[in-house]
Amino acid sequence: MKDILRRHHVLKDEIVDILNKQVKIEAHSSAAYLAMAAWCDVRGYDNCAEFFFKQSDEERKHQLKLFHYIVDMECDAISPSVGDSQHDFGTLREVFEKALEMEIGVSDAIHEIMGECRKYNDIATEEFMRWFVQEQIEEEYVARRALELFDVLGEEKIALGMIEERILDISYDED
Amino acid sequence: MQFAMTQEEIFSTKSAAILQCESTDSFLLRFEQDEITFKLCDLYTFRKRIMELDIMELLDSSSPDMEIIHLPHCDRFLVLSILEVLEFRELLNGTFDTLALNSAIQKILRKGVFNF
Repeated sequence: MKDILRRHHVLKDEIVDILNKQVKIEAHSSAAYLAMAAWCDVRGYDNCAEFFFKQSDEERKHQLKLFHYIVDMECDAISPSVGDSQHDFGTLREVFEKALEMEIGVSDAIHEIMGECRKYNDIATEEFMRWFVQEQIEEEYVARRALELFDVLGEEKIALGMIEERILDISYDED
Repeated sequence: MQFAMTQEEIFSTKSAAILQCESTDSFLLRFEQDEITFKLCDLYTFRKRIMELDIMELLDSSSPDMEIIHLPHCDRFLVLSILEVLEFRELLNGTFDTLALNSAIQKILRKGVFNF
């Protein structure tokens, strides 16, 4: 008998479910970064706002990359509903604290997918997800370095100005 | 006639059956003298819809205990009683289990393709 299941629905249901969950996580992260960007922008932290706008775009790209993979495998990709994001923050440091917390949460979710891929012997999805593992190393590094600027420079007005000057220069170098 | 020969029954219950059409890579639901064709993705959607129904809510409801299911791929409606919903659950679970079993068997058979 012809194996229609394998021909037209490449991934196991459990893998489709966890990938769709990740699509939702990425969508939520993108929205959360947008809220952070707005907070920074209206308070005059223009470079920090730009930093978070870029992060929001990144998360959106991650969401679409996952979404395309699911449909390319002829499985049901679910366009997620996104809940409310946190719009109120006490300080600029708190915004970056939240950003790091969120990136760690995303990394945990990505690692969970890798675990599921191994459990179901889904080599193709595991290979596809490697890019995300690497990407999260970079994202977490950038978020951590941003937060470290507060440790080094402090939170006085002049220090916040210096953070503004340096925030867009943070980048991850594998070498 | 040639089309009929390419159909294989995947799973059946008392009053319904799902057949696989080899020539079109699709599935045929036979239910009370009616036939509805599904592509695999539509069958998945249909299964999700049936599994999401809350049986307890149907039992508790003061309204008639019938459920109307829309099938957007063919723009048709199924009106199902609670017993029929349960029968469809059995049918769809049986179908997907059989398809998964077939997939596992075909995977083993495929190994023979490159058995030099």
